[in-house]
Amino acid sequence: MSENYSGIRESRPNRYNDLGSTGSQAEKDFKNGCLKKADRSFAQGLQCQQINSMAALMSLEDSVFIAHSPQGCVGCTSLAVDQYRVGQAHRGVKNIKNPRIIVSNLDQNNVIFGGEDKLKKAVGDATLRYHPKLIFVFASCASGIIGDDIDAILKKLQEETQALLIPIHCEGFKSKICASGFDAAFLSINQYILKKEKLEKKKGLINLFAPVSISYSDQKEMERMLSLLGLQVNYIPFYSSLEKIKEIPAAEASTSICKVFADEFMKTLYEDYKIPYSHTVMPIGVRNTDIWFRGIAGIVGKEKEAEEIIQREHERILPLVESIKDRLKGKRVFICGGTGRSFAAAALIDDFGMVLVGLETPTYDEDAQADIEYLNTIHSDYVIDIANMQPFEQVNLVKRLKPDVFIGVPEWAAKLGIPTTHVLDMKRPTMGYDGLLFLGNKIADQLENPGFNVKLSQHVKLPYKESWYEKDPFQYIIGGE
Amino acid sequence: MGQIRQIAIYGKGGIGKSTTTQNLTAGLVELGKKVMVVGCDPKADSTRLLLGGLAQKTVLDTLREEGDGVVLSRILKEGYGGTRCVESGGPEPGVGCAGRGIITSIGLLENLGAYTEDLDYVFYDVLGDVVCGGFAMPIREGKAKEIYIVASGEMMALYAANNIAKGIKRYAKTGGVRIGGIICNSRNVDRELDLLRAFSKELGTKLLYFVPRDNIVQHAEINRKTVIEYRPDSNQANEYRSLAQAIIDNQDFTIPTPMEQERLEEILLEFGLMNIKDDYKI
Repeated sequence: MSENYSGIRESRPNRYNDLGSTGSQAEKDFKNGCLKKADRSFAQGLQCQQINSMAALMSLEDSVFIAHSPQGCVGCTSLAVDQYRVGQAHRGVKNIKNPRIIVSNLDQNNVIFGGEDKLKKAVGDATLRYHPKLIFVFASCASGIIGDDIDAILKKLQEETQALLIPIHCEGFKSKICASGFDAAFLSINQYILKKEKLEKKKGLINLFAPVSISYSDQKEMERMLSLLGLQVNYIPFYSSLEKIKEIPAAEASTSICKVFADEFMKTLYEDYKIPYSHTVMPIGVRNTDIWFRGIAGIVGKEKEAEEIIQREHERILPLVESIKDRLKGKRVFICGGTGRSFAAAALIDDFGMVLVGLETPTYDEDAQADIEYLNTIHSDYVIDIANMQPFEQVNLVKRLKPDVFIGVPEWAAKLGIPTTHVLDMKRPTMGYDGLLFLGNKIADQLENPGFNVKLSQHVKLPYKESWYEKDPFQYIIGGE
Repeated sequence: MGQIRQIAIYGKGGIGKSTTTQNLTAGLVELGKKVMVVGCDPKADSTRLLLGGLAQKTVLDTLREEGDGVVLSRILKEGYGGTRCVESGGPEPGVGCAGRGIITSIGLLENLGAYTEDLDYVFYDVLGDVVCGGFAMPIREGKAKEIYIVASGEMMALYAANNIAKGIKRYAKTGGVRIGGIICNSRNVDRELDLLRAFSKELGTKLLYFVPRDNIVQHAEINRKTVIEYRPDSNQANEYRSLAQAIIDNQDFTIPTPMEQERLEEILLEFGLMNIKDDYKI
């Protein structure tokens, strides 16, 4: 990562957020350089950078999170609060805590006169109430437009504050790629905590980056697999601490559970601290788990051991997968999820002999192209919708394609009466060899017991007119021809 | 009742918008007109000559200190000849958002009933350039319908005027705002009158009035007075009275036709340099 990288993923070439196509067409167009930036003339709500920057760090110990924003901007942190509480319960924490969030509550007067005083007060209150080790300050659209100099304010406050003050520039409007929020958080961690100071390397220590949506059982499965290679895991940033973050530069190598979550940061760690990394796929399904495992094993020079382990795991797992396959074979699937997970899930259904009919994911880029190339060798005909959660397009497509199974974020498809399986619920296993079995059984159980969703569809109506379902689902994607 | 004529005065920073507005206001009140002047500049110096100093609390300061309970009498002060003076105010230089401040304070003035039926004129004296939506507030949503741009024969003043005309054109399409003319606040540059006439014509409007340069303006300002109050019998006082009359009589309101940079420079070349030897005396 160069010094000037702004944390805005759009600034990198060949990333697309608005596209309606088919798998084969998209592969061809991307290869020939024929994909162009488009836009939506109508769009439903998007995630913003700020919420992802906050969600990325909210489970850190001894930390306070200050959103320098109007109060509405922290509304969506409630989702992360829920995850964090459940995550603690799974980890056996007895006294479950809420994350410590303070919003500076910029109002009309602050927008006119600057929000400096409120930010100072928020930092003061954070110190008094919680005596934290870390105080993160998140910029917002409002503070960005009026140009509050958060860096300068915190630099001055740092002189009299014991906790480390860390500004994170995640103004919501900066990027349409919500994953930029993760980048912004990591950029600040590097600048304010790690500071390019190299540490002595610890043999066998691996940085394992995981997004918030990874359940504790998935964490344990990844740690189990890496321990088979004799590696210890520094699991960051979730449920970690200042001490664990400070240990990042001591690792022998880095890898990430999510393909998107820390890809830019792992590059930075290589450039600034000479930590090699493995950037492959999300370990969902047999094939992807193999690839992921080989990736990190290759970096630490344990290819041979990895092959032996993979073979042992396959012997253990594949017969069980086969039994699930009998229940799922030939079923048609629609998948919706983050960029890493939806492609991984698409590969997973191959384990069970299922057929991909539709795929919705937020971003199309080089990584996506690699996945699509693979998927196109298995599935001949499927629709792709590059959309950051545009339910109106999704329900239109789902009604049209009539899948037997929906995998991913299920809010809307469930209301159409289709059996749904969540792969982003952050609470149950989905990853690695063991996670695969759980997930497979879950999909099959849903398919065999669709009663809840069927009942739901009889009592809940989606807000769209019937005429919308007759229309081209991509009619609001404009430009890019 | 007669319709209130709401007028916004724009122009390059330092060109003399506030001086011209206040002197012209003094001319109008002499003729028995009821005038309100709304300063839309964070520096809050748009009513200094009418009030005899910067004694006034700005709208935004009052709002900040007193919260929602602001009353009109706290922010509206009476100045020379019964003019009503309001300063919007704004943040310290370099912080916050002055544009949002103007939006807020004009909204507040409306809510508090500052626009009474007995008013004949409301002037908005707006900061140098229309840098963001906030500074266009006086000409949005059917507030000021007439705009005058103060300019001189200096290149940058004309450049700014042309730029402002672009902003006016934008709002002319959606609202009813029109340009009423250019007011030249002379800087005694070469062939200034010809240049300003040509420029105004190209901009699709007219040179409403040419205010000559006179040091008496400076003296009056130091004494915190308009020229009309300071030296009512001076030539310059009469110039401002004539300007006031020109505003009263003006009926030509157009949508401006801002020009490309090249055309602007052509006009400058044509009128600014022709037949003049290099003589830099001012």
